[in-house]
Amino acid sequence: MTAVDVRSLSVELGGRSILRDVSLNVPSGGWLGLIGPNGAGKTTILRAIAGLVPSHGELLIGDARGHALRPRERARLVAIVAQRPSLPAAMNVADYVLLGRSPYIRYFDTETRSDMDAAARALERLDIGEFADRALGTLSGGEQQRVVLARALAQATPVLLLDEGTAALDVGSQQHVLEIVSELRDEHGITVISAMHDLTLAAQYADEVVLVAGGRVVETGIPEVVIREDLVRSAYGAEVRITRDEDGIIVSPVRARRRSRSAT
Amino acid sequence: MAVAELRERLSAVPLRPARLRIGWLSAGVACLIVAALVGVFIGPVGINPAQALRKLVGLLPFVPDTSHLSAQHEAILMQLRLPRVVLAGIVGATLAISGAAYQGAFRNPLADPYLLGAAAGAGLGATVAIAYTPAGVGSNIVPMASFAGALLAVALAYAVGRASGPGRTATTLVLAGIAVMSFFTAVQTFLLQRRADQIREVYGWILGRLATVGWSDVFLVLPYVAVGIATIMAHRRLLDVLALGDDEAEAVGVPARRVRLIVVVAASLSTAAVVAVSGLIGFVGLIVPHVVRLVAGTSYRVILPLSLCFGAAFLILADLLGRTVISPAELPIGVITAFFGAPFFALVLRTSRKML
Repeated sequence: MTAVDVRSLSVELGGRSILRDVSLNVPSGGWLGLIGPNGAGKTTILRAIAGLVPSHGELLIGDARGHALRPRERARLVAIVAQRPSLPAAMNVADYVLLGRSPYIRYFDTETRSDMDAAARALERLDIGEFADRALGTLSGGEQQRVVLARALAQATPVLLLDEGTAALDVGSQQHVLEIVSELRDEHGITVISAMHDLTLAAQYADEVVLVAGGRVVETGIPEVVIREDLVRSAYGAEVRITRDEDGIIVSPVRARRRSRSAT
Repeated sequence: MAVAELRERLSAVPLRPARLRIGWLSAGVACLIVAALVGVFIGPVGINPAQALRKLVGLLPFVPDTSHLSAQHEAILMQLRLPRVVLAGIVGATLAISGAAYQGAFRNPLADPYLLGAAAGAGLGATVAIAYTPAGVGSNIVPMASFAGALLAVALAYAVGRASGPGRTATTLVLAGIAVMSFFTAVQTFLLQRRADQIREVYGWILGRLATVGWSDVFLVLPYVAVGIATIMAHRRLLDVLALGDDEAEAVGVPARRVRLIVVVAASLSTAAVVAVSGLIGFVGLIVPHVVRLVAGTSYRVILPLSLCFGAAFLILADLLGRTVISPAELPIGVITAFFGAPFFALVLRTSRKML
């Protein structure tokens, strides 16, 4: 079954075309990695799926038509972890995670026992139960990332969108977060779409990747097919060497040879 | 499955989310009651507090009035002091909760109820009413004129802020408010320059006063204030969600822009109503919510109800000082709120280790 089906999606902002004719498809429980250079449109694709920017085209989330969903209905299907989530410094972790229950609370209502339980389980699941009373401003980057994930988990959506920050986390924390997401996917059958910068990690975690450049989809497929030296060169303008081992492919940057400089 | 679920439930940490603790609510209500009683008991004419208290208790339904006040004292108590204390309470509560609502809606700790030009609009309205109407008419229509001016200014700020396109943010709106405020203030200054003889009267209004009130003023503002405050209170959870910013609030299904519009309209309406009868009393809307935030918590479920109580108590006491310190003359209440409020706030700011 398809969890997210996007066909010919386009986004215009302020008269500028940001996305053109983007199509992608993720099966339920799958992990789709969005790769591409900065400004390619990865974030906009995620925001369009989450309904945070107006878009044209077809957008199916499960069997619901994305454009017809009301904000609260959509928020029960899709959770998004922003690139730089705003974390009110004085708010404590428990309250923040509880905000993930908002789609289940009617306008003038307040949280119920089951919302509390869901938030508590999310905290427990991400091993941050002991932080429950801490203010967000006192946490480290890695801890904050887990808190944001806990909020998304409390939202209990079948689809999780991850917009990975450029270089916010060290390699260990990055790996840790991706491992958690991977485990959550296994446990709950969550479908993941993530914008990723590190091509090696993208190849390791995603079932399929979509290479985006200039607001268009350049190539879609399994990582071994899409992450190729020629495609990376033309999309990123980068020289890379791609090697394979038993864990998958490894993308390492290499220095451009001197001949290009001596030629001028 | 059931066992796993049960185990999960048992192992889950008990959450202690930010809620209004009963202790703080009791403190707020107690503070308000004490301030109101002191405000009623103290004044230039000495009225026996015990008798006054009996009179007040006698106002409660099904309680017999056992007081023995002279007719004159009873009139002073019932027609002068009580309405004044009640109005001071309403004005203080409204300014404080509106300030908190603005701070939440704009995610800006510097916001106060006058942010979108309500004060400048009310000032212009009052100026026109005082300086440009035939003598004797002016003072009667000042409340109406300042109410209309305040609403006009806020509406204009909103219209200008909206016109800036789909990329508008809370900041755009604040900037629009500043533009409207400058414009209205300029017009007001120009009008005043041409009627120099009335500057004193307009200035007196601007500094705020609760001097000439009776029950009529209370009944005048009550409908607006009741609707406004009830609306703001009903949005207390959603104001907490707004702390995430518009984008992330929308991502959890909360229509951030609509919530902001409703809250701002409610706060502006009630602010315009109280400004119309009390003039421009500064400081309360900015400081009271922050003191509450520093001592009791940063959730709007805590800030809103406590700002209501402490704002009312603060203004009742400020008014008490204003009318007793240089009695029988009166100090403008706006001077008192700033003179005592500012050092107190500095003290709280210094002693608190919480983050704003």
